[in-house]
Amino acid sequence: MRESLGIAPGTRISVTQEGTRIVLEPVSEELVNKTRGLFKGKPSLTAELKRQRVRQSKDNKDKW
Amino acid sequence: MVTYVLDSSAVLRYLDDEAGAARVAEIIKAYLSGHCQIIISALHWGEIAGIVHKVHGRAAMDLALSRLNAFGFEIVSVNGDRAVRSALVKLKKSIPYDDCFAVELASDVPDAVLVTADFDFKPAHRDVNIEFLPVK
Repeated sequence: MRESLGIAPGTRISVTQEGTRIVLEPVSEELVNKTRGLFKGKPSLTAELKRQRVRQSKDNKDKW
Repeated sequence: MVTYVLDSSAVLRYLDDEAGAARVAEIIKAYLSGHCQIIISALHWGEIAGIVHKVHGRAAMDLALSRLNAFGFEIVSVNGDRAVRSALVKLKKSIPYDDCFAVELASDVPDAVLVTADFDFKPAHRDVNIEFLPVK
């Protein structure tokens, strides 16, 4: 199993929960690709960040 | 060795697979191969957590943080000195205070490159190396 998953001594392991299961995955380029776009096609996180920054900017304008 | 300082916008672009996500993935792969360092301010780490939670809920936040944690980036704590230096950046550059923590961090580390999708950082481009991700 280790060989087929490319797990060697020192390989980092990602631990996540999927429902009632605990999922262990080796950290690899494949995991980097899999994490890229984890929320793709869903409401945009960067749009929410922008909204928050605009609100903060308005709130802070007169403070300092 | 180059140290990349990722800000909230860079990480969120990566999670959304929006413009610049490929570049962030490339940097993470280089980091996993031992070719660079990646650091994130604790303030931005918290911001990433809060935004993912707000938009997608607790389980999504846990998933995103678990994945990112597994990569092993260094999360740099905010302390009093960093907060004050960040305040000075804000006063000098008129950059949003949250962003100043990334500028302060990048200015504190030799050979650092701040990676961001946020053009609010522009006033600091002469003080620290900034790599702007492409606009959408």
